[in-house]
Amino acid sequence: MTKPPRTLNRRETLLAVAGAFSAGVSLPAWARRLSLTRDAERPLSNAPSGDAVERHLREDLARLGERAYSDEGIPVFLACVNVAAANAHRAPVQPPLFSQSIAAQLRANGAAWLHINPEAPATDISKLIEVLAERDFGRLGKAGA
Amino acid sequence: MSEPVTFRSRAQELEQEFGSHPLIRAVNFHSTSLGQTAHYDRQLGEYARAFSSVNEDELREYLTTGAWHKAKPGLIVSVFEGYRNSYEVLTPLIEKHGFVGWYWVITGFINTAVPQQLDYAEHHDIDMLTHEYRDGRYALTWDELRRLDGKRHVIACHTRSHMLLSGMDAATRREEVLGSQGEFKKHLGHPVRSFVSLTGPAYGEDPTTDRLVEEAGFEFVFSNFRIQRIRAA
Repeated sequence: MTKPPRTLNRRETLLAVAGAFSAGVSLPAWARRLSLTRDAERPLSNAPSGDAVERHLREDLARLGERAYSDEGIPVFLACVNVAAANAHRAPVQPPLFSQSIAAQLRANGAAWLHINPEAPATDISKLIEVLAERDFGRLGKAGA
Repeated sequence: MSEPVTFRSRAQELEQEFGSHPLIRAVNFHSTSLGQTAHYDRQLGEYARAFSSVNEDELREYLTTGAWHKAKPGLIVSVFEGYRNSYEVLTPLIEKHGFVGWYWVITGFINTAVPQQLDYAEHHDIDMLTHEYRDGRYALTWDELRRLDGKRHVIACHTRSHMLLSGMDAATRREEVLGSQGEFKKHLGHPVRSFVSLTGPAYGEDPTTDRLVEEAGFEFVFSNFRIQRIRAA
């Protein structure tokens, strides 16, 4: 993990993106109220349009570009996968609505990122996950925006 | 030949995986310097208002059933590498706010003699923005790990030397996985259940490492985007 998480490439990419988009973007206060949900996130029908997703993504990447990975707690999501042989015969676990919402957000933001950077490497997916996690329970929490 | 992994294909794969499995939130700490104490306190305090702690048994239940039985959703607080400041700075805050710390330990780091620990860190991708211990000890000790273990925090394996397993010869790789597990058995009196290696490759991506992880008896493999339960208890 990251370092489940190793994050050096993510930091470099975020910094590069931040350099391109940071003008006029102020770093929000950390202690904003968290936009936490037990299950359902924003319904898909209320999802912002492509342009809005792209603008939002640019702003958030710029905000996250300034952080020090080795000295901060970095929010992420992890999919919980049971591959234990003894459970292989069991019916699949029903994912919560929260999982489906984050997947939908990943789809929308992934498309936006490809529009911003058509040559994006596969490793860029890490920073998208970070952005989504920061929006959900980190410094980019929607409730404080 | 397999198709090259592109951003698009990776995103589609991950979207599918996220949408079809339970997700859990995690926060990843590395070096936690004394000067940032107030910041960590606020961050964990905010989390405590919204999230519950997660231990390995609770994680197993969640992976097995997809059901979460605490009032608040779970948050895994991961603490990487085995820094001394994990114990001295972050642990009191983790406990103050009611979380379980998941300490991912590089056994080679904590086995390194104090005068060589900074040099070891520099050569094993163990980052620090600050160097605030004049006595030169930057790694946890086994005594500290035993105390954490005794307080029901999770002690977990982050390999022996924090190097890419895929580039190692067979004997070295074996030491990284089985050797480090052996050190946990020796010093804690029991094996640890969770494993992650540098850069977080998942179980299933490298058959050689998979076999070693199985042989070492790990139950959970953490990687960049998932937690896999690979064996029944």
